[in-house]
Amino acid sequence: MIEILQYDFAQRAVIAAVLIGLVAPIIGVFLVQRRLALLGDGTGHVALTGVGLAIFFNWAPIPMALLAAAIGAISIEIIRDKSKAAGDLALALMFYGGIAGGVMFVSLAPASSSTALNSYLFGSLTTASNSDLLALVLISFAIIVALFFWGRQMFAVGVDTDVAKVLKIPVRFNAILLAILSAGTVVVGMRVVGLLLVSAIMIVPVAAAQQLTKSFKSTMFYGSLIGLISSIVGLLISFSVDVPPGPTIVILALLIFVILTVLAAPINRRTRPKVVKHEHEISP
Amino acid sequence: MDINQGEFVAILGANGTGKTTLLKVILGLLPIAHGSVSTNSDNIGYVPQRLPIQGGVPISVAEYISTGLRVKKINPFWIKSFESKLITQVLNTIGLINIKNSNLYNLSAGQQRRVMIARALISNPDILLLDEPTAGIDSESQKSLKDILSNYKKNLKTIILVTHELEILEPLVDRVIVLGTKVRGSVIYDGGLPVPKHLNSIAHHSHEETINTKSILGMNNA
Repeated sequence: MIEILQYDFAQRAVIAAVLIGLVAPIIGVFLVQRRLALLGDGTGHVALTGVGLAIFFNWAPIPMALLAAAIGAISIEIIRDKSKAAGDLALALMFYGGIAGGVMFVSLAPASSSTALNSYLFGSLTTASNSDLLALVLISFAIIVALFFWGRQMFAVGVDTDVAKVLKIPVRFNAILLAILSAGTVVVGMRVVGLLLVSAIMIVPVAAAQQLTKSFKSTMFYGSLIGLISSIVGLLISFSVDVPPGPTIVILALLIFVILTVLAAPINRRTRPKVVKHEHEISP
Repeated sequence: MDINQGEFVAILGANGTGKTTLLKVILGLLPIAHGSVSTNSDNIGYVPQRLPIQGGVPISVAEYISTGLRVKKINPFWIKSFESKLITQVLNTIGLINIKNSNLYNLSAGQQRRVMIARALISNPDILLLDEPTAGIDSESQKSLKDILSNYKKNLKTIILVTHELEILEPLVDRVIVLGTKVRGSVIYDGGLPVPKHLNSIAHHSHEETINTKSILGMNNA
């Protein structure tokens, strides 16, 4: 296994896995907080259409995937802001349209093959080039910088939109920023985990971490740690066994989630809040 | 309707009379079809009726209270040391310093309500609006809430409260506004305590006068 790390493609894959393992749960914790766990999924499907277009026109896939994912994520956020039900429907339409568009364009491409499609759907160890890796590093850096500048506002908006509005925090800007950051994360994860499962590496480590944590910050930290461990170990397993990295990484993260849920069950039972019975109906 | 600085106003009314709507109009969270709202300060604190439904990510009490701070545009996620001191100070005020690092969602309803008030108080607002702060909480928390608001009122701050349960906070209240049921947004009583006998049960079936929509709310300095 160690020998394979001498190859450039393996080193690039490891760097990409480290990036996605660290960054995805950081964005995921904001998505879970706002009950937008499926946004990454919808965005990933739309990104596939971007990849399909790039393959069809022989363009670079990462910028096209980023553009498609960002347009998809922003559209969902704008529609969701108008109506929660319409947002749910828009998400479903993006799921179907995104995957259908992606498969169609890849199939129409002159040099298309099912291997190319599978590498984007489930991740691949050999396809990332040096320029791809540079793009992934830049996108990850941009995500961290954005969180440094607007992290507190994004958190405040997630905690209580009404109070954030009273405090004059730009709620719409922050929601769209989160949508763009999700799109960026999807593209970072595209090469390693694949577009169909990239959302899982954003959400599952957060779900696992929150079994034991008591704060948003610690959930973010341990979510990233679990994401990092799952990504690296999953990647190393897929080097030795002939399986795509995406499913291996996600199954590992799910395994950690199950273990932590079982371990935390007695603690969570003890700390469950007392239910105070309301004496009358509360209504506006 | 004018509310003066330093006044403690309780807005009462049956379900559906528009108490929360009125509060949200004052806060600028809902648009108004007619009239206008003006306040003498932008520093307004708001305590909603309940915590919004979240996706399950734990939030510590300190993190929650930090969202009440008026943050600059550029602000990293973590809490700075001077902010932490402010949080400690406000938690001391509400007597809950021991739960600073606890998960907000593991607290009792009464403790959660007090923490929500702490979040509103941390920026030392000139006007404090509370929506049903005493509903569904234990008597100890109700007493604590009364003490917090009593101290706050001493600083000549304006407090507007929407409630079903006037009894608990009655000693603090300067003025009562009762909204009627016949016309949404109508005021059937605006004055001091005690309220007229026929309104004791907040049964709003008496003579109603329609609110002057040209000046729904103006807050003037006393």
